[in-house]
Amino acid sequence: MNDVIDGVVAEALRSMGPRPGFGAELLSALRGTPALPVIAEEDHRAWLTRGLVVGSVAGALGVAGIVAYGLGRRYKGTRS
Amino acid sequence: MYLSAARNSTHADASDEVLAALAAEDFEAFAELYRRYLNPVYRFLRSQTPSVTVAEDLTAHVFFKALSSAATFRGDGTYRSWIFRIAHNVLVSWRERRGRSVAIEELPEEEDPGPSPASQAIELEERDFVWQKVAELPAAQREVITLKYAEDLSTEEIAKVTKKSRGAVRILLHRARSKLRHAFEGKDLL
Repeated sequence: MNDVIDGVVAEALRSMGPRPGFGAELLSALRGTPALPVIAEEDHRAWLTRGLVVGSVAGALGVAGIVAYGLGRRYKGTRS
Repeated sequence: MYLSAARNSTHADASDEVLAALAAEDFEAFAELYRRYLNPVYRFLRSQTPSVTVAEDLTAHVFFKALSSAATFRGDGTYRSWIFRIAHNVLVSWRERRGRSVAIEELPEEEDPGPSPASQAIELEERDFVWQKVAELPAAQREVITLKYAEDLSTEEIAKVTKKSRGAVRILLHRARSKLRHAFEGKDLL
């Protein structure tokens, strides 16, 4: 019985996907987002500081990318 | 270790963790991970949110975050757990901004591209019924059941993603299954 429920639920949940074009649209927006450079970790004492810096910069870049993507979507929406 | 292994293989053949180690420097490595996880992340978020628009916005949020934080992936867990954890965090932030638990207000569209033969076997009406019943579950139960059944995450992985104990995850799964079993009784699904 449980196996049947599992199968029915899994099939229903897996049956959906993003609308056509969404994946390409988002990938294109992502291409313009800078990723962080890999920082060598030769100095363990600096690890925590660097982790905090990397985290902060990652957050800022992520927010900038999302804002740019969101503005792009809204701009496209107003034109159509 | 991951880096040297990756240089000897193509992106399509590489494991998630190898690609993740390259993703901060090599956009194509990230793009391969994106191709592997776009659908799983989207359907996870779609199952937890009321509309396609919200699901798309949150999916975009997850991948921007995954790209900008690519250098912070340390390989001490799977990439799958890592990206679903980002998705969980994005979802939690969104719920907090909304200030209320989210109920699914509309069923997913019928425009899903390329359904698998297995999914075609489920009649549309039945699929919508299952969707509705999953949507009616409390948010925490809906989240674990989606991770378990749609994405095949282990109990341990779900615990990591949702920051719950394994015991708590098992209880949530048990309660969700009980509710679904009860809801499906008398229907021709089983």
